Amino acid sequence: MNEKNSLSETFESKVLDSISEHVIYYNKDFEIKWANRTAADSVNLSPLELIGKKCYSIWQNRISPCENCPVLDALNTGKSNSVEMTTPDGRVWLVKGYPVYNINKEITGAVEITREITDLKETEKKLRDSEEKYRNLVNNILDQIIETELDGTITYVSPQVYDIFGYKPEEVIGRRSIQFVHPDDINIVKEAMEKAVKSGEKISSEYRLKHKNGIYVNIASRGQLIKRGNYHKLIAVIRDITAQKKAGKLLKELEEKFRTLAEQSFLGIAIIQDNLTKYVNERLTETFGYSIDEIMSWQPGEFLKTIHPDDIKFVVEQVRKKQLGEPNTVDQYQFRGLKKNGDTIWLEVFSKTINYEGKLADFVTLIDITEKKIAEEKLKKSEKKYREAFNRSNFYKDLIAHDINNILQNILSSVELSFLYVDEGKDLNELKPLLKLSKEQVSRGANLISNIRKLSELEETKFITQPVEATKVLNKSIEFLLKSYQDKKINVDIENPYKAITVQGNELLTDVFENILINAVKHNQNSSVEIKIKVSKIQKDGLEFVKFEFEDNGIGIPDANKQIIFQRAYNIDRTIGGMGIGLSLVKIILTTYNGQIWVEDKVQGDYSKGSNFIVLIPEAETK
Amino acid sequence: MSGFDVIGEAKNGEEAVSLYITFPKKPDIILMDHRMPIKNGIEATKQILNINKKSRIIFTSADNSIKQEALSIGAKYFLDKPFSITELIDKIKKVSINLE
Repeated sequence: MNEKNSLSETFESKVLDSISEHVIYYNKDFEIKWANRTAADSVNLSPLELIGKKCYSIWQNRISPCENCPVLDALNTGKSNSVEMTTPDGRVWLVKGYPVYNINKEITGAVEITREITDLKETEKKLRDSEEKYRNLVNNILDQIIETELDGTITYVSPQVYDIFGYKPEEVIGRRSIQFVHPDDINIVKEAMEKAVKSGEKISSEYRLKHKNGIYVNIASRGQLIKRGNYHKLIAVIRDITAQKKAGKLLKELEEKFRTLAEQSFLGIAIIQDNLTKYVNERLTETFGYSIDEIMSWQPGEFLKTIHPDDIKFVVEQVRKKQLGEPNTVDQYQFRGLKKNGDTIWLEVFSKTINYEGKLADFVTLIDITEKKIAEEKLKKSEKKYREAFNRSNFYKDLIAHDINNILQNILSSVELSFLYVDEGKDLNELKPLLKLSKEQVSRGANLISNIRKLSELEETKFITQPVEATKVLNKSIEFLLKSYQDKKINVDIENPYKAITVQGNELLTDVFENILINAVKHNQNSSVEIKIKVSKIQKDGLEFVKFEFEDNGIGIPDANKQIIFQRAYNIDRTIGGMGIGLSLVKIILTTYNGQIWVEDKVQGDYSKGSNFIVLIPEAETK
Repeated sequence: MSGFDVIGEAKNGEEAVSLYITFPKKPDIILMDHRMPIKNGIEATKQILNINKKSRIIFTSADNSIKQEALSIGAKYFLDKPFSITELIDKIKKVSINLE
């Protein structure tokens, strides 16, 4: 047979030319004797151009055969062989070599059949990589993967089966998965499997599986039916949720405990998050008068309506600072709240930032301290009253002890001197001044006691004012003055343009005028006491007043003393001062009238020329 | 009457000190009241004793609460009001014993 083109025209060569594999016939010297079109096309040559060439020089650019060449192997061993080879262009080939025998069973050559498997290799590599990835995933996750037949027979478990259940994979493969399920949960598992098979969807369920040590493990499972051709399996991921269940149970118990405590607490409790009320207890609803439903349906920020407008700024600032974690936030403070009915209440609040359902929230406890505040106020007032009463008591004690003693001293000295004069045989007329002094002291004492009584009454009871004819009272007071000091030369001059003057006063108006007039005489060293009384009307602060001015020629009052003389005697240092409480009584009386009194110098700038006592009394309204 | 002359009178503590200063020959004995306008007896006593620590001051007051203080700052005697003339003269005589 012409080896050069013996096959070129035959039917067989036409067939061989149409297949996708390379078909090459080699002689014993490993030279190409015939090649099909596919082989020739793969190197852009014609079949004729390949004849006589060595394949390794064409396809591998080599000068010697490739290692493990299956064709050479077939020529040498007479056995067929195959090998995968990669050509320099990166393509991968499956090369098979078959020996060719003559009728004498002598090797005459070899046939190479080569198929490109580059794509197959790539696919295989991808598959391998994917499998590797999958295997790593499966082996390293905490969850277990299980594969079963549709009847539940275990065909695969991931290595985690040992960590979770204590079994080695080979101990469970081939067994029915239902064998490991808690008797009370078997129906759950059966239903889940049936649903997965019927629906083809992922089915989740929770049940208990037995550990090798006999204890049941709480698991959560998510499984699905996988159908790929003949492959019908149930695949599930199993997670040990024992700790989760325990934590969940504990959480529930704690929540239950919290709710019980919160509901029984006498403190109002609220949790505020994102300006919404997330939780309130019964006590808090009672405090504000809103129902739980009302409070829980409030819009963001609506809880602010429970805070008194005057305190909102402060409270909101504390809430803001707290939620931002700023320093110097006040944890505990008092503020005024508003009940649903509009009543104001006092509250003491303690607030703490907590983590609630994954976010920061304000945990607020508050207590209604309204009664406590009222009691505190009452106590304060009571203490004040007690203190005032105590001071008053001390004042009167001191007044009586000191001033009365002084009066008694004067009387005693006068009497003793009188006795001395009598013993010495002095003229009776010389006794007169001493007797007069005694008499004056008695009046003084009586006056003092009367003033004390009036002062005391004024401080303890309210005197009602009514229209009083002031001119009549003034005239009577002047009469009294002149009678009391008959041995003194007293001139009283009145400037009163009004026929009748009515002021808002009472029976104590007499004391006002008498005390002022008596002072004018007492503190006067002149031989003649001059008193000028001016009556006028003025308007002050939109009100009508009657103005009485009592100008005298007495010793006057230094500027330093002009205020002191009117002060409530038991508030001042009585060691600097004289006797008596007349002017403080006058001031108190006038205050009850809504009137005023003050003193000026008769001659401005020179107090020694005398004083001018100015009295304002509201004019009574005439009908 | 008992052989003593009253050489001066002051209406208040301030006047008492001023008067004392102006006397060319200081008084042998001073009768000092306590509750007076402008300056009280205790303050006036302190000032006078500052000028002349040998001053003989007899305190008289209806305010018994300052007795200890008056004696501690240098008053010779304290007379509680009301006191009799006899008591007063008795104290004056006692104070006068060591007069030069």
